Amino acid sequence: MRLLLIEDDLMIGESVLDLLRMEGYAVDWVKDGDMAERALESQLYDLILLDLGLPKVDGLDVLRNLRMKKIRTPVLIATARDAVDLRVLGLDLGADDYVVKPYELSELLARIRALIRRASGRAETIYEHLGVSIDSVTREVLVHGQPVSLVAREWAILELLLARPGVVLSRKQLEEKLYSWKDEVSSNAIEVYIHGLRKKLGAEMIQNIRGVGYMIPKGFYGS
Amino acid sequence: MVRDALHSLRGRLLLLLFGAVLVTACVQAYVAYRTSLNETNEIFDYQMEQIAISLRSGLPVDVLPSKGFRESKDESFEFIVQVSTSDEKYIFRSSTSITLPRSAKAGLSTFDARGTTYKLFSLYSGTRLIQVAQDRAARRDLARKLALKTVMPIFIMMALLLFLVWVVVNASLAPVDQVRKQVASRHADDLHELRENGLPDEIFPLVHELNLLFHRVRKAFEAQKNFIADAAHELRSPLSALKLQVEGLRRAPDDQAREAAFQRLSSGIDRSTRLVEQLLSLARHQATAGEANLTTSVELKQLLQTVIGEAWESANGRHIDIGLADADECTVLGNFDALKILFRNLLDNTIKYSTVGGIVNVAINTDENSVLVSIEDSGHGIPSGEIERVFDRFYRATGTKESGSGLGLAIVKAIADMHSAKIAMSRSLALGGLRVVVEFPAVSNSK
Repeated sequence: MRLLLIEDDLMIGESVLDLLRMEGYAVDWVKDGDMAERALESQLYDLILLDLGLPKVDGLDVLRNLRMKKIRTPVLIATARDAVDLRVLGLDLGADDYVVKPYELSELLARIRALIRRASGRAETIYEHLGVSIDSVTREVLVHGQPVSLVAREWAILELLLARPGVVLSRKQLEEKLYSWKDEVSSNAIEVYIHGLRKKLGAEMIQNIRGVGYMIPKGFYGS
Repeated sequence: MVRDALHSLRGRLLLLLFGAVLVTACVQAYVAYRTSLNETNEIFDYQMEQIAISLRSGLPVDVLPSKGFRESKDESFEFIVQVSTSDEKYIFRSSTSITLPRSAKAGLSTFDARGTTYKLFSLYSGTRLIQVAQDRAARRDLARKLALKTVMPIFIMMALLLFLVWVVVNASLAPVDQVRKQVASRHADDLHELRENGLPDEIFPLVHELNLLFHRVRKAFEAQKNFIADAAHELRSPLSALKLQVEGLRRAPDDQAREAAFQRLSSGIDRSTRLVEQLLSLARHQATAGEANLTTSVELKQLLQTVIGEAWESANGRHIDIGLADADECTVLGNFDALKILFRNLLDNTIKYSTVGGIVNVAINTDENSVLVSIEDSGHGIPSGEIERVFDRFYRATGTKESGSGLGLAIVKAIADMHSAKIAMSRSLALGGLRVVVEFPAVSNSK
């Protein structure tokens, strides 16, 4: 999952960036409205974490422009102001949720998960398909009832593919979801993770369509 | 109750006016009563005399009262008439039950009979003694009744007057009452001005002053509100950072990450500490701005040398050449420590926003009316549109990467206000950066 963090406070930005990365999100961090607009033009994000800073109300402009372009990416506002007006304005301009600083990291992470879950059209946190069950909160993966341990990026790929069975994701698309600007991506990294997943889940679980990409089938034919 | 009434203007007016009206009415009534009583008395005496005189002529010599003489049942108001001769023969007696004393002297006298006192008028006419008597108590009752009749209107007038006083006092004090109601009916946090038109001259200045006060308090309130909102934001950001930094430390997967997280947490705590100190410093200097007792002479040159000495290290760290250019010897009245904070903050800002390897010049110039301290640098300066805002609390130059509380210049402003000093910012002609001038009023030499 790729997140855009818009935060002008260096200390907060630094920490949030690290903590989100530890959670396995690919995060890009921008410090002002202009940078945010540029990032949004070049990349599709799964969620935007928007700080409504004090000196500039740029944050709200970013939000307004985003929704005017009909981009439906979930937006989570973080604000240090208690003014209800500002939060109402933010929500009415198209934000999906907000947290008030100083917030608990666990709450921020839960809200991020909830927004991503909703955006992918699901309400339940545990999702099962073809005998593979994943829990997006605990990150537990069960294959026919047996727990399987995945590394963070394997988990990320599985989550992406399992979210929409039958939809093919190219290597480039997967890379974009998994890596932020700063990450160095080795050319065969995705192949390595797919290989690992197939070994743990069974080779038929992830199909490679040559020249197109990877998918998890809607069902197994003949089974 | 009287004491309470005396505290109220209306109570006092009503009490005093009522008292005055009552006293005057009573005195007037008493005087009228006495006068009326006396006059009635005189009239009664005159009547007795006239009756006696009218009986003097043409009386039969030996007419005795007839047997069938009918006495009035209640003769208390009646005149009792008796005509007798010197040889003690009665020619005429209006009453058989009472004999008037013949020994009485001529003219007015009194005598007691039938358990009461009579007033008697005796007139000697040749051998005859004509006497007219009247019951003094009855007469007094009558006189009193008549006198009371003259007094009654006075009391009626008094009641009317009291009512009028009440109406007039109430009507005159109505505007005061209106203002009172207007003030009483407002909410505790309503600090808007009261209506001033139509108020009498006596309370207009009061209400006007009150309105000025309301205005000042409202401004202070708003400033306070803004400050709290700003402070909430500014305090929450470092707290947010601290919270996240702690979380980062907790979740650090290895020693190296833990060390980095420690570093971050430590600088986060430094940042919070700095902010709190700046806030306290600002609060202190704003609180004392009004009551500052500035009698100490401060040697500006010495003070600036100290401050520049303290700032040298951070300037040197950025290879900035900082120094005192011109320095007239002069003193200003002020607080040494506060002024040190003022110049230290200005210098810190200058150093922070100067380009590496730049120049900062400090100078003191004096003229007849003022002492000017200028700080110039070779940095980028401040865009003219933002100069107005730099003294706002929590303002930070746009696009700045420097961390800071945004309170430094607000503190400078508070201290300058305390010293009646003005601060101006402009573009430095000599160095191309920012020029900050602090203008102190000159200490008059005549002292």
